[in-house]
Amino acid sequence: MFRNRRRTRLARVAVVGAAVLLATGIAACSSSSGSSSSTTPSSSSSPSSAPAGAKAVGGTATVALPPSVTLSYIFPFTSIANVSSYNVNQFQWLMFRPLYMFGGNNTSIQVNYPLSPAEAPVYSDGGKAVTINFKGWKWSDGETVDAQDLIFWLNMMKAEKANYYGYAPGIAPDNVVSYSATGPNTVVVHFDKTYSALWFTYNQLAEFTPMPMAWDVTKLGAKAGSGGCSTDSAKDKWAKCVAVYTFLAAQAKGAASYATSPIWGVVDGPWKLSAYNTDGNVTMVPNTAYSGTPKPTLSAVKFLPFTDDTTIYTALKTGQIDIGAIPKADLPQKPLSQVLPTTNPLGSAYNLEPFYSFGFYYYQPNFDNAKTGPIFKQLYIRQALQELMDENGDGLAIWRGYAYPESGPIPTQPDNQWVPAVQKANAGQGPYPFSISNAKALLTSHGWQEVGGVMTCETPAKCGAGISKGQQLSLTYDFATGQQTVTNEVQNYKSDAAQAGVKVNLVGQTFNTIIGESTPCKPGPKCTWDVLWFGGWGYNGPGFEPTGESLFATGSGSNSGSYSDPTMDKLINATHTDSSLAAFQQYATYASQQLPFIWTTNEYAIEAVSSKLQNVTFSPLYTLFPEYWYFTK
Amino acid sequence: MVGFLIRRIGQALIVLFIVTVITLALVHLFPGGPVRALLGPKATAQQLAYYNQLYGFDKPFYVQYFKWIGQLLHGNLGFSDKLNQSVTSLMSQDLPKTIVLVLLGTLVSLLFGIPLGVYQAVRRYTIGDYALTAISFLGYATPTFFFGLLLVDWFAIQTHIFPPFAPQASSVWSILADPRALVLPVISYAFLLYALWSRYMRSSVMDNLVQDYVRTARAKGASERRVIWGHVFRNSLVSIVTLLGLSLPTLVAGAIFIEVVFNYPGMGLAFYTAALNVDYQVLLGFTVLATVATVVGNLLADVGYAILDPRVRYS
Repeated sequence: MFRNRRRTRLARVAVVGAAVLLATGIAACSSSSGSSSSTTPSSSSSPSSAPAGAKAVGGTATVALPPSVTLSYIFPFTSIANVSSYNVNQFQWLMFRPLYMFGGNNTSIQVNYPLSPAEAPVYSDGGKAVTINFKGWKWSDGETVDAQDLIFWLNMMKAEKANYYGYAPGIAPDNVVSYSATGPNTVVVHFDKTYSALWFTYNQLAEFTPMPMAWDVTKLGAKAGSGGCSTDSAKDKWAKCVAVYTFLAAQAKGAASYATSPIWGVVDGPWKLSAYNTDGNVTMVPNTAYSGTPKPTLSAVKFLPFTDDTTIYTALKTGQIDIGAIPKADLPQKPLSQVLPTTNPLGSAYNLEPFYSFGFYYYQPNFDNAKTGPIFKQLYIRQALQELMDENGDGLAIWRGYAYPESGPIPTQPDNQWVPAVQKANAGQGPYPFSISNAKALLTSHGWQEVGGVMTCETPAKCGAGISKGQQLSLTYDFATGQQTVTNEVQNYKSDAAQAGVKVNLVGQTFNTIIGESTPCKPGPKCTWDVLWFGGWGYNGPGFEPTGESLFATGSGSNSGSYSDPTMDKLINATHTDSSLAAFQQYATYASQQLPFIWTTNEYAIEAVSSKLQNVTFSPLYTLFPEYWYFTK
Repeated sequence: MVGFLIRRIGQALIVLFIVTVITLALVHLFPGGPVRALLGPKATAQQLAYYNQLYGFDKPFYVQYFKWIGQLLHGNLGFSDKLNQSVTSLMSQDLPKTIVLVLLGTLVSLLFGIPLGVYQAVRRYTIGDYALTAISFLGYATPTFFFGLLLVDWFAIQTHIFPPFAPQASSVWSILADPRALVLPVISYAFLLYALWSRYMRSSVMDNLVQDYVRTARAKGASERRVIWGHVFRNSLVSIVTLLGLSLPTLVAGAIFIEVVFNYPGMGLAFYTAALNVDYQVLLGFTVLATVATVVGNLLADVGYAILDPRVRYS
């Protein structure tokens, strides 16, 4: 998700070379447009009978989707070909509540039991079993959200795990030994070993979504449950579930019929679809049968697709939408210490809200590069490379103050339970704050000397294993072209690094080339990249505990640089088995100190919200909660 | 004539074969492969292998090619996993909206470009001619998207006369039902074309004005109005009509930028979004359709020329 945000912009400019001019043109237009305070956001259908400033019932909130994003997949058993934070967190979850909701109409990133259809899980058998009790919510067809609905999901996971985006070998459903409904509202799940309650709740139960019996069919109009998946077993190789999945996946492929489908019309969330067109215009209305609280007070939420952030800004300036992001170029410069700007470029028609992403950005070193891998394997060199990253300088100069330094695998903003103390050190710069002199001293104390302006290993015994005498500290950084902010960031880095004698060779690539290179490689003639600018990593599903198994565990799929450290592996494994927050903090502290990545500045967005639309906040997990929103008159 | 037709059709088929091979090969040139492009950076090796097999990318290239061509011959342009709809249905939904934009824009540009081009030719080297020439040059020089942005700023943001965006509707009828929202995109599109038509018309009329038949008409006592509109105008239109046909690909390309600036939900916007999202099925489908249209258009033009001018058949 996080990655998508930059990727979208990058790809846009890469594909259409004129995009820079486009942005320039819009910027010129916006700067000449004067005050927009006279604009009135599009609450054309906003309530009319309420007194001024009072909470009113009704009204349509119009929300701008981020550039090039469309809400395009409705089936919660989502394949990786269809997954995106928008499809899942901002579309499916409004209609189909997962077993446990995460985040809320605030900046929390924790599990939210009040908004979930099940009570908090109860772990037993020494952490090898969990009992889930449903609250008795109702589906919109009158059926109860109950144990059988969860069994239906679990059976489908067993049958079709390859088609579920969150699946990886060893985790659910592989680690689920058995499960059964012990009562109409109770399911007990047994695992293969003891797991951390924290990890299992945040990263495994978080993937489960009860599905209605109305979906357990193999043709339209069939009797609910007639598909047999909810009572299927491995005895027939899950044949019934395969048939039901095939039917549901085929239904999900018919996007044009989403709003009229009798399948997708059965919801347990606060919203249901009322209109959907495949251009990306989506309208949702309240599900009057929603069992949870709060109940929606708006009469509808409308999502509009846009191609460009500057187009969204135009929509804001002309009052066409109620919610949309303001491009940073159109925001006033501000100090890092301040969250919002002192002046609102949209005037009084809109309020401003920060939108943090629960993720981080980084440079990825290649530890398996035969030539430079030995260099990256030295912690002191990674420290020096981190100390050359002027995160605060970039935050001010490139992100106009709408950024904060990142210092480890846990986002430090907004404040959260996961972030270790070490990451908060040095005003958020962590254990290795920006210091060119420190970086230089670190290198010279390890046998490097500046020769012709480039650090050169003079004492191999001190430089480290695999580094030969005369080897220069010259590294190639592949970065994605097309986005000026990224180009500025790498150029700043090159400039600062040069002052410490580290030669950084910048090579611009398309984002897709970077993605193509990012597959972990074995040492050899094809494994030649040194460092990739890789965008970011977001913890916004399928798991919500920001553990490192995907990124830092030896041999994991997204460990593009082939980082490997037995201690790191041990600490990551501990987060899976030890329920204490301390175990997690140990991992996070170690990752921050060991620098498997070079952390870079974390930006955040500024969202404009119509001043008539109240109680809107932006979850760092990208989930929207329009049931909390209301208009005032 | 039959031999000529066979030769031309054979050439068209060869061009189509080469273009489709290149197009499919380009998909394989996505860094990391087409499945990596589809699934994104978080895809595991197992998922990549699964989807490579699912979509047949693990098969030899020629097998993939013939399977794809077989689908195309059955009218199946592919399925967009990003949008969850077939490329055919995407086109049938968006193409009519683009056609509306292109036709309206072209019509408006012709309504202004042709008579003003005639006026410029007749009143050449006058202040009026110079002023209109300057406007035409401005139209040539101004990037389409930039002119669109200026219109949005002037007429939507500053004065609120027109909405900044096109109607966000799925059907072509609902687009037409909101004519105010069509004004700015149509003007943007028309401005570019106006420059083209007026310059060509001016030049064509000036060429015709010195022809013998004009002198003859005047010698026979025809009024200047009759000479211009009855003789010169009709003959000058021939080049415009030819130009209209030949510039069709340019018209569609121009519509992409207009559709992006005005968030106009047509085929150009769909193509643009597909490019951003690496939705290769949509890109493939659009490219093939455009190729077929171009090849068929050229073929028809060749045949038309051959019918009109027999010398072409023997060249």
